[in-house]
Amino acid sequence: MMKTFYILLILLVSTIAHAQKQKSRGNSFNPDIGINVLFLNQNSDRDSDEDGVKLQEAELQFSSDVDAYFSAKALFAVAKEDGAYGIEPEEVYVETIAIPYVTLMAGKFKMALGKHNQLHTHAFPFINAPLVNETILGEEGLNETGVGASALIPLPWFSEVNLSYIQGENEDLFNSDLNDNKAIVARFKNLWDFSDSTTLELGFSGAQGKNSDHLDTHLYGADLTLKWRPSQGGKYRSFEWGSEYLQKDRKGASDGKLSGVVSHLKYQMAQRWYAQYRYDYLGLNKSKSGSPSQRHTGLIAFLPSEFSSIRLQYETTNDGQEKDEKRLSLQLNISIGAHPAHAY
Amino acid sequence: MKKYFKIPFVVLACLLPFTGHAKLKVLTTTNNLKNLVEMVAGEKVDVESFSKGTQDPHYIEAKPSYMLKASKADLLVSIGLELEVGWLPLILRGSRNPKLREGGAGSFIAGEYIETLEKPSAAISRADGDVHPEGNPHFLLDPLNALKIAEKLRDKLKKLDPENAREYEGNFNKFSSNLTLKLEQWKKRIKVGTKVITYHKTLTYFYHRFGIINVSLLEPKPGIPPSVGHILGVMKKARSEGVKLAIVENYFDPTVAKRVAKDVAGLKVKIVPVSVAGEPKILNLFDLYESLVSAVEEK
Repeated sequence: MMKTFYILLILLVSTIAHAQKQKSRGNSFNPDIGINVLFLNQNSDRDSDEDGVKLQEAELQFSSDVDAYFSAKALFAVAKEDGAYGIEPEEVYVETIAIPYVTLMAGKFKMALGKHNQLHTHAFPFINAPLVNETILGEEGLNETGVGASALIPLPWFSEVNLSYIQGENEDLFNSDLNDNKAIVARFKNLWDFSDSTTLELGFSGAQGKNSDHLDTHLYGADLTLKWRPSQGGKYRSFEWGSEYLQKDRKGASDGKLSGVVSHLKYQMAQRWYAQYRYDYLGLNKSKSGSPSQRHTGLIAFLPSEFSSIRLQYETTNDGQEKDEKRLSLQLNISIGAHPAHAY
Repeated sequence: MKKYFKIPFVVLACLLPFTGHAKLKVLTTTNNLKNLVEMVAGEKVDVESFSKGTQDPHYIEAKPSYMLKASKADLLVSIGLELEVGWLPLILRGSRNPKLREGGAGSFIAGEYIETLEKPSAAISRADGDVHPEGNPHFLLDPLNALKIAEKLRDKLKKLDPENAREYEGNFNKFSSNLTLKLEQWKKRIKVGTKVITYHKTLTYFYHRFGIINVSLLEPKPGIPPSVGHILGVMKKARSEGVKLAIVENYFDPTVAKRVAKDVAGLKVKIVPVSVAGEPKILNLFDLYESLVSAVEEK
């Protein structure tokens, strides 16, 4: 698997080199290329393995229209895993651009299960993912290969359904060794404009598939996001409150039932300054795996421009052990090249 | 019984808007474009703008509600020149309305018809701030550019809605003669060579049309907030050049300009709208140009 991607990368680099040599008009058809780099320094008073400075992740992004019918996007993440750097496809997919009313997708992509799961690492509101996402969906999140369709529902407000039919590969949730065991993921997203400044988003998600015990795994999610950015002076002030609930029910394992919530506040104080707070709770319905976890996270962000940010984060985690874990992280986040717009 | 009798009528009334010849639905990215569509189309189309007059059109959020609007639109009028690059692609993607995409029957990109100013001739880098590789996108602040775009809009509307072609033709002619007349009057009120300082490069085309000299910008680079060192430099320049006027677009923070004015004798700060509906009393492009002219003219 790994080898294939090295070969792919070498091919890609060589085509770029080739294209440059030609300096032909063909250059204008090269995909948009962007790179996001995250540098991280962290210190924990408990788990010192993760301490110190590291290249947290580099994301290489390529996107382009394929032809009059499709557009494609490929995003590869470079990160250290088990002591060595590796490159992995985070998302590689094709979607339709010429069909009205629906978008059809095929490939490997981030599943529309809740709101946070669809974000790339560089767009996370905090340095690390919420506890529910990390624990239930795994470190990479729910990111599978398959086909998807999404459409707007003709209602007076924004209302969208999103369905995916996937070959589950998530280690814990959908890793059945039978190839004809597919999983489905669904999301129903609504958004209301209260005024020019304020919106409320409400989403429901669900997933079902077979796990490695050939039994069912169910996932349920709900999310609520309130956003405010005044239409006058909106460059300097904004506010966001987002909450998400996630639950898994995995038949066949002892710790099969687990759920939790995460809620965050984000306040923009000035054009380039943000203050944020997050609360995590995991183990709402008394999982058998142990005591529940709680985490408080505070973050201050300085954004010199839309292409760079420096963030300082402090968190305390109470996971039932005698002493709470305290962790301080400092992250530098930069983006070069073409950068596709971020979702609202 | 009577109550049930009414139901079919209610249903019919609800369906009525879907029958017959429906009005064209037009969306624009800015209020200035919206007003231009109104000038040419009159009552014949429904038109709405994504950005409000008080918002910086570089930084509009791609709200899903905009996707819903775009899904039902017949025509999307945008500025182009990468002004909307940070948000419009997402709205187009979410709208699932292929005819609004670039090159589609419902796409109109105004920037394609403009000889842009400040088009970088050498290689550019992000270290230069928010530079637009195709040139400055605030071209509608020159009345003659507005006229040029109105003409192209007339042609586009005639093509999409031939039934109302005469109306569009008539409206455009009226707009054209009014604006040409007004422009001559405005030109008389502004002394060529008037010196100003400005916050952002929003008014380049306006200055260009009326022969106004922009001595310095309060932003060190486009999109970069002013630093202390830069402001000191601006003050020095304002003093030595004898600048009497600082113009701040009303979606930027005016405190910096006011601080500069405090230390430079004789310097006045004027906060101006740069978009239709940027202030409640600015109802159309004529009001907008009028307010800019009266901000700059010497009284």
